[in-house]
Amino acid sequence: MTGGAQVHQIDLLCLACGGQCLFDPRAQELTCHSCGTYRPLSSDGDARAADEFPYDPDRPEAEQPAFQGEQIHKCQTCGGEVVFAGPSLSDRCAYCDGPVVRGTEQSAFETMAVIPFARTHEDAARGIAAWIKGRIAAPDDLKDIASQGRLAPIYVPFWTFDSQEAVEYWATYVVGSGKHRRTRETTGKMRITFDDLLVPASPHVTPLIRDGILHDFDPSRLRAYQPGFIAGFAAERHHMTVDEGLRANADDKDLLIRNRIIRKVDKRGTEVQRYRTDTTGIHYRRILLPVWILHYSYGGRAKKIVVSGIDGRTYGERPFSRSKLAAYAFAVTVLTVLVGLVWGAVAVM
Amino acid sequence: MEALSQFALPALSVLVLLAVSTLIGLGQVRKTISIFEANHDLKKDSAGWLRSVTGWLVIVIWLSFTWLIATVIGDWAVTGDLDAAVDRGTVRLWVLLELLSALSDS
Repeated sequence: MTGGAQVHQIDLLCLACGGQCLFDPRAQELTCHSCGTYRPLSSDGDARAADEFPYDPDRPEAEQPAFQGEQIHKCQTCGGEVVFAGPSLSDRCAYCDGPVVRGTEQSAFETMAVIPFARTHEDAARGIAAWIKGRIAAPDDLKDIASQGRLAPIYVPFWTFDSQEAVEYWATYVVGSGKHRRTRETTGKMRITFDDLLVPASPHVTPLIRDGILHDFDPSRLRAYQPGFIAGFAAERHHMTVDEGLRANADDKDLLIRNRIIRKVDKRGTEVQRYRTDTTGIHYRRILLPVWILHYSYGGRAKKIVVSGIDGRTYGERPFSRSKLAAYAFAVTVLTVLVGLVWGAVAVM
Repeated sequence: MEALSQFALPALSVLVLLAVSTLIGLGQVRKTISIFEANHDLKKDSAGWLRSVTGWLVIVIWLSFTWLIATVIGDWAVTGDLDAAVDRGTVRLWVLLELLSALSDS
């Protein structure tokens, strides 16, 4: 243990009995597991927790990692690296359920703010059961099999990025039909503002999971980072520089810009040939967001269902029942064939 | 024998069409459910949503061609003239291709 980690352990001891304190999502406070005493976690930094920091890509400052050589838990399957404040509650990886071993962190950056867990294990389990119930053509035994999976909490590193884009585009669209179908060219300029674009700073969380569980990011819920918030939970630290974070978001930003251009042109068959953007006003935050991950295996394939620790929104991977898919496909086919048969017969009567 | 070709062969064709279209439809139904669920679960206009709701045209193509072949069989069953039914089906095919082209543009 490094000195920093030792300080964290002492900070997390109960002031009344010296017992181990863990963060309680319902109370939003530390609670002693020995005597039940609650300890608030508010700090002077909370008022500035939502502050954003400017970044100039033309003058990237050499960032110094805040952590180096600290003890971490590293997954032997997916390579995920997590830290625990207080006791390490699991020897399994929260991302993939693989075994974790103690290791040494190469380098990591300081977290600026965190949205603490507000949903408990029971809330997450209920959310997952409801999500599974709403799946169409799911196997009948999915609920039972998923209920045997392991539900693990983890604070996942995210970026928020703001930017203003001055976009110049070249696009084509279609007019007419049949022999009169023609392709026309168009060009134009537009401004796009991205505000609090959430970007996963971990390779273990995909943009699809982000878009499934984090619909309404509210910066006012951010709290200044304190180890007490992750007491009892695993957390992955930030390992990316700002430049790496921006590059990780490049594909998504490209897709969003192209979609905005298509809406701006608003013509049939619009295709964006190319565009040029001048990005200014980049601001960022390094934050941790709470997530519950359920690992289960169906038909020998590992799957996961993810629940937002903020509002309980759920999204995940699910199997399909082949017999139910076949039944749906047969029903739709019968209907379509009947319409076709009647159409063909009536047309020649 | 003539009655056989007028009713039994079209009926047999319907059965083959049902089997083949159902088989092809397995993937299309799965895609339809995935798009429906993505529309419900994913944040609208997000990158993940944009990627997930693409590919619906293949579902339309599956249904359109099932319908088109069924119209030819229906025509054949009533007139007993397969060549004429195919000719009339070809006209529908061109109209269908125009519609699909317009849909893909959207």
